[in-house]
Amino acid sequence: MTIALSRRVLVSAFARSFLIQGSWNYKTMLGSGFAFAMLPALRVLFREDPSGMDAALRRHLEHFNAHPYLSGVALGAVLRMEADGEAPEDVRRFKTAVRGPLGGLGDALVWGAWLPAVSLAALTLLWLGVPAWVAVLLFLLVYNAGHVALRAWGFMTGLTGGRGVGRSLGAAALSLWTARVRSLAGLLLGLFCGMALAGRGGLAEAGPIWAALACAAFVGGNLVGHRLWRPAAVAVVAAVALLAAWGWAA
Amino acid sequence: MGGFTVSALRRLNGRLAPEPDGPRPERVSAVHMGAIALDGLRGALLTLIGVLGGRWVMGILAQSWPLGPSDTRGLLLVGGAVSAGVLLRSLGGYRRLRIVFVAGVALALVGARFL
Repeated sequence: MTIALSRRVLVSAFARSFLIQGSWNYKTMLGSGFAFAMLPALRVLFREDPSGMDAALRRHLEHFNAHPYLSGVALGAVLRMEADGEAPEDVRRFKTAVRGPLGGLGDALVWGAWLPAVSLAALTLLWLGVPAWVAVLLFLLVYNAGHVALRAWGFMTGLTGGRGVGRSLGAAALSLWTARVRSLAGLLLGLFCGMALAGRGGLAEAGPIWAALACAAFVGGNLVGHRLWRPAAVAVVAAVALLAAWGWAA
Repeated sequence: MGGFTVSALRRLNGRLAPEPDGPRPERVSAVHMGAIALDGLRGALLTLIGVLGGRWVMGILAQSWPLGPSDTRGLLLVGGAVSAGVLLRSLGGYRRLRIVFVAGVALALVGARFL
């Protein structure tokens, strides 16, 4: 039996999905947040069935994890499944099946492509002399336009697709979008590096030794990857501390 | 400090999380909103400590800093270059992105020369 969820309930669940990561923990990860987002719908679906409500809340408090921006896909699909009266075990199996793909796709698209691309665009504007507040404002507007659009698309896709949402996700070609945004980020990174080399206030003004050191550091970072980031940060802080101590003694 | 406090908050959230054995909707909402409030407080305190601590450190450094502006910028850009290299690798690496990356560098060099 299908129970229709009102627009108000759906809007409430979608609004709550923005807070889904609010009580992230090492035990159930997004579990509490998922149950929190489901509450408005569960209250309607199990209005006259307290034991059903209890059981539904219990299964949605269980361990769940996904990228927060794409968790709406699972939320929308589970809302649909619960409204369609699907078996609790099917709902549980569905949540287990989608958490890995939603985490991987979201991490690659958002943390691995969209955030770096928009950050680099803002940094490039800053280097070009745009006032800092304008660059920050543009960053917030553009980043969140993509963020909110992705959340809304995910929630609607889940809601319309239900347990068959995998087909809609495949058709959306999120991996292709990730590759495109990464290419854009690569172009912006090249632009930023070029400006750092030859632009106003860049390495060309600092001198050839600094430019050579920066090129070596860039190549090192590209070859070694994240493992180099922490030693490099420690080295820069140590260099600053040593130089300050030297200046103090002199 | 950010990493340490967020780990501590997540451990606390785990202890306060409603047990799936006997949950009440009110408790789910209260714990969730409480965790968000604590995270907000954490962010505000860290920002305050960062701003005050940063000002204090900058005051000390400024008194004894031996490098001129261009060498200081060079030092910071060397540190930043590591992050830029790491970012290029995480975006797919030079081999995969060389065309767009080199196009970006070329565009910047042309812009710096003629603009």
